[in-house]
Amino acid sequence: MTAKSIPAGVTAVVRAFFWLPRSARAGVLILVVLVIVTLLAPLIAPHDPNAIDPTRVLAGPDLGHPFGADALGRDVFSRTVYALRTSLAIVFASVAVASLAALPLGTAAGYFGGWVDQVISRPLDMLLVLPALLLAITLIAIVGPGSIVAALAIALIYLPILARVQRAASLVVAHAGFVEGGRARGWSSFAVLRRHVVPNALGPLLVQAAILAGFAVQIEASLSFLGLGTQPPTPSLGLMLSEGRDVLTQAPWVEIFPGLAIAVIVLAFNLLGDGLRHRLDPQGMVS
Amino acid sequence: MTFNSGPDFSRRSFLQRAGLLGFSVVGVGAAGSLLSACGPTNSTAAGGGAAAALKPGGVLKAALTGEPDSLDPAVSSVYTGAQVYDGIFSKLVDLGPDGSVVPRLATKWTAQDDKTWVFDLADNAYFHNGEKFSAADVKYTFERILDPKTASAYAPLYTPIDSIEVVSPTQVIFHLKSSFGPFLTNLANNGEIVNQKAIESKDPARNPVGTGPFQFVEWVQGDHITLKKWDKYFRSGRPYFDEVDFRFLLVDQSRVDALSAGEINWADAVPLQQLPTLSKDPRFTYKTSPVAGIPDFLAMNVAKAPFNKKEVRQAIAWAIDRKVIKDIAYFGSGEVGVQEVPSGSPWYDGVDPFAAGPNLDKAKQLLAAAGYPNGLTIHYLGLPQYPELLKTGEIVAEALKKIGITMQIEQVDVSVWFDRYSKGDYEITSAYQERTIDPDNFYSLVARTGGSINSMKYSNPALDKLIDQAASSTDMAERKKLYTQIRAIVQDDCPLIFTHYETLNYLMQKNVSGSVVNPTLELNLEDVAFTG
Repeated sequence: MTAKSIPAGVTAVVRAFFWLPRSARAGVLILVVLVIVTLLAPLIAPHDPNAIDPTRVLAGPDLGHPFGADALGRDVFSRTVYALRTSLAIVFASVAVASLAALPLGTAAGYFGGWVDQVISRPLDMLLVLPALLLAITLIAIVGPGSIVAALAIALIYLPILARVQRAASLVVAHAGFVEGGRARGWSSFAVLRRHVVPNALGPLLVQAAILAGFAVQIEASLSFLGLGTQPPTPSLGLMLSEGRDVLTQAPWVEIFPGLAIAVIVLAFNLLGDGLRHRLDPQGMVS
Repeated sequence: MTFNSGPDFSRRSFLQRAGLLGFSVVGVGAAGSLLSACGPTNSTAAGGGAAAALKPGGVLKAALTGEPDSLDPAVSSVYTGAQVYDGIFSKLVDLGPDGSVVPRLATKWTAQDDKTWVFDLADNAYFHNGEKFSAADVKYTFERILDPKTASAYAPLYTPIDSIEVVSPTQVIFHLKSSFGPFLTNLANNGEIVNQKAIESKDPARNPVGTGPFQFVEWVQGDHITLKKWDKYFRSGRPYFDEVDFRFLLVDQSRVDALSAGEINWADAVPLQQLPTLSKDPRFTYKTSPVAGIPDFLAMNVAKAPFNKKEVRQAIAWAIDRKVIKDIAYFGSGEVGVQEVPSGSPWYDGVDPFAAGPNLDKAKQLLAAAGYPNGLTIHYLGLPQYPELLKTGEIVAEALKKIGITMQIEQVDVSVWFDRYSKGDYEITSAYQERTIDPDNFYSLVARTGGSINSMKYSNPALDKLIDQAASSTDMAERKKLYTQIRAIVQDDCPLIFTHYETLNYLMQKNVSGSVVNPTLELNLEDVAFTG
């Protein structure tokens, strides 16, 4: 393995992959496949996911339509592929937004402590008190339904959780010898945070983010199922479940395949999260 | 009687509470006795077909889609209430499946002039408390409904009544303030005769006492209502059943399951997606009829751009395929939306300017003429509570794509929908109007300037004049002509586009005979019996 033939980034990714436990590697592989599927959705989906076909209402699976057709005669396979795209986009966006917001808030609260901690942590604790779905529904009731609002609602649910994890990790690192050393050298707080605290306190946040990503799929599905998330006709896994419920006895495929897709995504994220926890958070900082 | 009707009633009862009743009760009615002159329409479709001998006796177990709110006919405002109390009370007259007025407690009636109606009453009817029915009960009934203290939602049906004169125990005269075509139909709709003594002795909501074929036995909240045969019922040979048990099975599938398991004999509202199989199931008899139901339509807010442009509204009307909507959103049930009444109504004229549609070229031309040659984006307020309405929205969105209109769907909760729809805080939505027996019921409320359900904010003085003229006329032929003109104006101006007509449907065991869909939505269980 020479740096000339293989770019350093790829080497790092490959190394990181094999650094993970075996089960987590499976999770990563599943996610990679799913992401590729969503990126290539227009090529993979054999039909327009929103094309209504009166002749195929609730038609069963066949070679051209491996997942059958729904109540509007739309191809369930194509819809599932596009729904994966919607759902994964919401999941990644929500977890990314929540993590990026939680990182500075949690680090500052943990490192500085005192009134900074109070000002940051108490409002977040208030958010933590509210049941997750209720919080999301309240936000959507105020702003109006939609995919972006759903992503923001999930981010709002996750922000206090991730910020607390980051705060706890920073609190531990803040008292480590190398941090004291940095301070003793006269570094600014920002430099200490950037060079010592954040890199050493990041593990638990990543673990928690990966685990929460799995739940985000479920929250997104719940919101869309309730009609509060993705709006029809845009396919989303939760919305498809909602549409399939009425015809469950006649056409179970409308319900089964998006349900399976949700199960697979959640499984993949859980495998990844567990593996990361194994490697990054052996003390069990993440609940 | 209620106006909260529908293939799936449990869903729509919410709207009732949300205030739709106010929308629906005013001015219900057809041109009274004139209906009978129109002759039978298609009662056979409703099912008559009782070839096998009817066997008296037995217990009918019927599944309703929800629990009644009250069994006081003046107060109850949900459809399931009427389904139950209709068996306990009798009215002066009733509407047959063909829309004709048939005698009940009134044996004969004559209009001495437009404002004076004389009714001869049955001499052999008794209330379930033993009181003999007489003209005084008729006077009490309608004065009670009109009494503001009763707070009856049905008072508007009878406001033209000036006074009620008791001539003898078997004759009563209604003096009206003005000529009122829908009078007899309104009596048939919600004129259940009550007894003063019974009303004043016990809570009428829970202890209904009428002259009907069945007397009230018990109401176990959340479970069932039991009625038993009234031996002194005034129509000889009726009823057949010894007892009727009403169960409340709100979940569609639970009614189908209970029927399949033989736990019940009769069920209201077959789930539409199962109609194709259940209607042909050899174990059951399926009844539907184009005499009653709900017109569904696309409502457009003409006060808002782009729907202030007639051409945009017309373009949408030409772009949609109502046959596809019927086949997909409604699983082929019901009727293609043409007008406010079903094809089984005596008021139906079948004139359909969009029969040749969809015509995408024409739709595109209209859009260009409206100033949108490159298409536009519109917002549809979706109501997921009623899957078929939301599916209609999705089908319309797909159809509009072909003429360059991007229709974005926003689903909202039913209470939000109701609020925004009634306030006009929307661009386009799928709406429906409860049962329309007389076209006046629809046009006065929905299309007339300032009408209580005119959520399109549509106003057309020429149309208003025609609507008023049609409402005050008592000549059926003239009224029909006027409604044809009214529809032509509405269909040209397109503040609303009819998308579908939902019909009612019942499913029952093979040995249940005589159950038909009535325009009043009542079950008329006195005519129903087991055949073996």
